[in-house]
Amino acid sequence: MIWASWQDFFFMGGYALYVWGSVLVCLLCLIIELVGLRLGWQRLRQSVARRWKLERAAPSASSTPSASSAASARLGEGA
Amino acid sequence: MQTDSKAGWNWYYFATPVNFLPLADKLIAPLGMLALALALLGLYIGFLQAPTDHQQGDAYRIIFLHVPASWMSMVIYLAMAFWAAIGIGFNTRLASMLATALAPTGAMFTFLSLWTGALWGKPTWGTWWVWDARLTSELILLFLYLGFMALQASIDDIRRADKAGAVLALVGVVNIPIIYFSVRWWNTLHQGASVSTKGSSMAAIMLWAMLIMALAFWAYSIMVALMRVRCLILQREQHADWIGPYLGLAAGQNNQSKREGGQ
Repeated sequence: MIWASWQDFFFMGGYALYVWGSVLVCLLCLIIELVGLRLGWQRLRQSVARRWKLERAAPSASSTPSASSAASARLGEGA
Repeated sequence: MQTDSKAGWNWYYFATPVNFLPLADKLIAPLGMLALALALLGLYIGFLQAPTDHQQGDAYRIIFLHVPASWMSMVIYLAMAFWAAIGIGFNTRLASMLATALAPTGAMFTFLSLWTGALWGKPTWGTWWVWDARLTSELILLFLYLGFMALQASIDDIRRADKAGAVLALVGVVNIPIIYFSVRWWNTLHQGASVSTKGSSMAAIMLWAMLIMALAFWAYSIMVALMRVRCLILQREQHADWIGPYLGLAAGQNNQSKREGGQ
């Protein structure tokens, strides 16, 4: 590599604040996006699976308005 | 891949959510690995191999993040507008979902373009910001993305939200050539194009690192769009019969729901 030492690398010729400030914010955005999507997907799978089973398990029970609306409220109606 | 009765490929096979979802599942991990490999390579070359710049010192290394982010901010908007147009033109759900899925990532890259640009401008131009044509039009792009997302979120009826957002996305497309040509049409502080179809004014090793980073961002963007669109598909199609088998649940007593899945 072109740097004499790792200290020189982190110093970035005096521009450390600007270069690492850019790198870190990029990394942060990527992490937030990926973690958010992974968590969202897992949670969505669970809630959809739960509701799917609920809607098909006991037709008489879930066909009453109060039961199905209670189930909807619990699982959180998404758009 | 299904074939139709005329012994040709059915190109619309993946146009329905039920067929597209497993495809998205298969593509996400490979795209992620590709993006990671390209990013590591690009950063290795750009930060550890490319020489210090004669004029800007090591501040120029922001280019390896700034330019790819800027390119993606524009490319993603074009893709978003394209799928939005397909969605309202052909009245298909999946195309609109794709447009909705692309917006947050596009907004993120626009923000990163502005952020890294500001951090590059301060040491080199002496200012975090200037209201020149390129910076201003990129800021407007951020507002367009955020407006698209806010507009869709504010409308309860999903198809109406898709269509309203599509109109906004399409009207805003005019901003993309403005951003791109701004440095040619106006007197801007932002430098002119250093990469074009006729060649480049950059040192080869710097150009390579930048292009590799651009490919990495591209692979990442597609991966994230697929991750988000499969959430949208699951959310919107959750009452369909195919959802159960997809999630690995038994088909069970589905005498209640006779709705068709897919298109």
